[in-house]
Amino acid sequence: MPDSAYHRLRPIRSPALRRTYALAALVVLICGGGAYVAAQQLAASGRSLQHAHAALEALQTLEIRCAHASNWLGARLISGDARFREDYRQALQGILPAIEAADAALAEDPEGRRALADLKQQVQGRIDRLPAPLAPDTAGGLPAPGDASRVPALGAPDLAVSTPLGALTQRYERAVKARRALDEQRVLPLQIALGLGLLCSLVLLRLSFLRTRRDLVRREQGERELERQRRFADTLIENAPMGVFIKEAQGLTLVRVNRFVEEITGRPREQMLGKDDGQFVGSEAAPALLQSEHDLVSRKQMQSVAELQIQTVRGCRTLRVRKVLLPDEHGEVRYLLGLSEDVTEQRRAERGQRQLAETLERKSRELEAANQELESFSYSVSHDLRAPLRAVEGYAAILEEDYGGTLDEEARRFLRSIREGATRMGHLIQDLLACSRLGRQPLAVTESDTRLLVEGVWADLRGAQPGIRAQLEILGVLPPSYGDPGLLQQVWSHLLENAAKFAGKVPDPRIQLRGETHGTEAVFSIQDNGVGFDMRYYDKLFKVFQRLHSETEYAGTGVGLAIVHRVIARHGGRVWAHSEPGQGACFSFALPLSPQAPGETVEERA
Amino acid sequence: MTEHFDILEILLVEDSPADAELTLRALRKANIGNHILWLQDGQEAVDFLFQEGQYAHAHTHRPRLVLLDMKLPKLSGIDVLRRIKNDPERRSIPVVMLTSSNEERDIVEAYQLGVNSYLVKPVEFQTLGEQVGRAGLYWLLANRTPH
Repeated sequence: MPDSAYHRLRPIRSPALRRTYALAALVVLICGGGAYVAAQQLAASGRSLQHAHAALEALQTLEIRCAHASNWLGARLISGDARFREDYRQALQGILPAIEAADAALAEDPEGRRALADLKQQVQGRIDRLPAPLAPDTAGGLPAPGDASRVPALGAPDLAVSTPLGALTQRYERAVKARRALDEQRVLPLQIALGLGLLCSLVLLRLSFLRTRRDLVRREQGERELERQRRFADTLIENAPMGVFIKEAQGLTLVRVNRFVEEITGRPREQMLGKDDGQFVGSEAAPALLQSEHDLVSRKQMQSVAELQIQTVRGCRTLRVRKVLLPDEHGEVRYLLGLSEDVTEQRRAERGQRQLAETLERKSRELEAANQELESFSYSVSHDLRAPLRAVEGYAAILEEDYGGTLDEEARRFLRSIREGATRMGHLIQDLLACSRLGRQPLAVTESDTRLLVEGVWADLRGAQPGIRAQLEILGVLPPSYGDPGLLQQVWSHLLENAAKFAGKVPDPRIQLRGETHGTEAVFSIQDNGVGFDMRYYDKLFKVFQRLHSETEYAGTGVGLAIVHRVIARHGGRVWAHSEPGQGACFSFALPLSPQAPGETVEERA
Repeated sequence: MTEHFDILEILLVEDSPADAELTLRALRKANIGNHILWLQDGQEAVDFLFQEGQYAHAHTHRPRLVLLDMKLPKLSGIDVLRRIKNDPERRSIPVVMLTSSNEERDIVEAYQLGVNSYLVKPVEFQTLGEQVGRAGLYWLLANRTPH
């Protein structure tokens, strides 16, 4: 699990810290070693000082005993009292153990021991020479009484003088003094060194404590941060709005999936972890899928994108899966990361769109074919339908012209009817073609001054039909027209011609024209005071060849209003009318004011 | 009429006998119906004008005016027009389209090829006669062409 990676902390490897520890250890070692050696030396020095002390003490005791003996000897000699001889003897005998003791203390001093041995011999000699306790004083080598010159000074250590005891004592006194001085000299640097070492150790200890504490705090912070990041990464993976799964690179089994994967597949993750994709794609597709993943891992490609169908509890789903390799820090591929999106709906919609587009294309081709057919039909109509009519009309005319004189009036009327019929049919065909052409020719939309447009049309109309009696009044200012000027001319022409025609039989024919802007439209209306029409037949008004008046009453083919309707519709506008029989008629139409809006939509409809 | 190629003023190319007769009558009424050759299809018209096919060895005259219908068997009026106007020698022969077609694209195409006039045949004989007569008079009498 990659989780373990998050827990693995790198040990703190700080060269500074290592140096600090090493230095502290070295200082402590040096100080400790130095202290040990110094203590050893001091101990040895103490022991020899002790020896010297003991020796000096023994020698001083000896000296005192010797002096004591000398005192008793002096007392004997001065007083001449024989009793003091015994005291002297005892004093001499008391010297002997002191010599033994001193000898023991001076065990390592051969020269001293020789001097002691010498002293011992002298003392022993004196003891031996002393007369027996009750013998006269002369015996025993004592100086004769009264011989003051031979009496040693009081307290003078004559024995010591006769031996090098004094010198020996003095030597030991000097030695003790010298060693003490030496020890004192030695102790001070040792104390300094020990103190410094201790201080250094303390400082280093403090430093290393601080450093360790800082590192620990940092480490703790790092761990907290790492934990926070791990949680963040977990949250990312878990809440990613796409399927995230991780596979172990060797066995290609799932080691982690997020909630999205559970939702797509409709299975809890416990069912998926530790297994490969075979469980989703079925036994047929599984080997190929596994092989492709093996290829991905072994070829060390960094990613693959594929779409696959998986079986889920919710049926077959299409997934778009992108896989990338996850190498570790040594470049070893350990995991495979997969990101999958559920594109089932998308693909379904695309299929639908494709089908729709195909249908549309087919329809469009059909429409195109139908249009072409219509066009060639119109073309044929235009050519072939009129040729026979021309023959009918032409030959009737020739007949009338060449043989009119031999025919009676009735026959000539028939000929005229034939020619009128043919002419009328010619007009019908002409209008029908014009009407059908309207739907096919492209619109050239521009802005026109409506008043100029209307006045031009009215002038043309009056030029072509001098019989028009009606007066045209333009009331107010007309808004501009956006549209194909040629087609709009046709609209005005038909509407004005109609108005003039149906007002032609009233005493004072008038046509009133108004225009105003309503929102995004320009609305125009043409009011006449003619015969009007019955609103019951309104439905037929704008249909081709539909007429509300007889041909004999008012001439016309019934195409004009159909053309008006068609042109206005192509411009995205509306046309309507209102009338009552005998009350005149009002035709209105609305054109969009935006120059862009009409063309496209209307062309489709047309 | 068609045998005499010595003097030729108008070449009429028209497949409909009725239309041809009406046209010829209109031309005669305008007193310009004497030296007219009527051919019924486009191929024959081209053969005549370029001395090809059946007219390869014939001695043909250059007409002073060609009245050409649009819809013709074999070669259409437009094809004939194209041949005439693409030929350096015959380009100057005035060609008047005389047709039923009121289609804008036919008119545009004819003018792009260099037609001299384009007349739409009306149903009414009287109007047709007037138009044809006027056109004939204009191109034969009023207009000057290089020889």
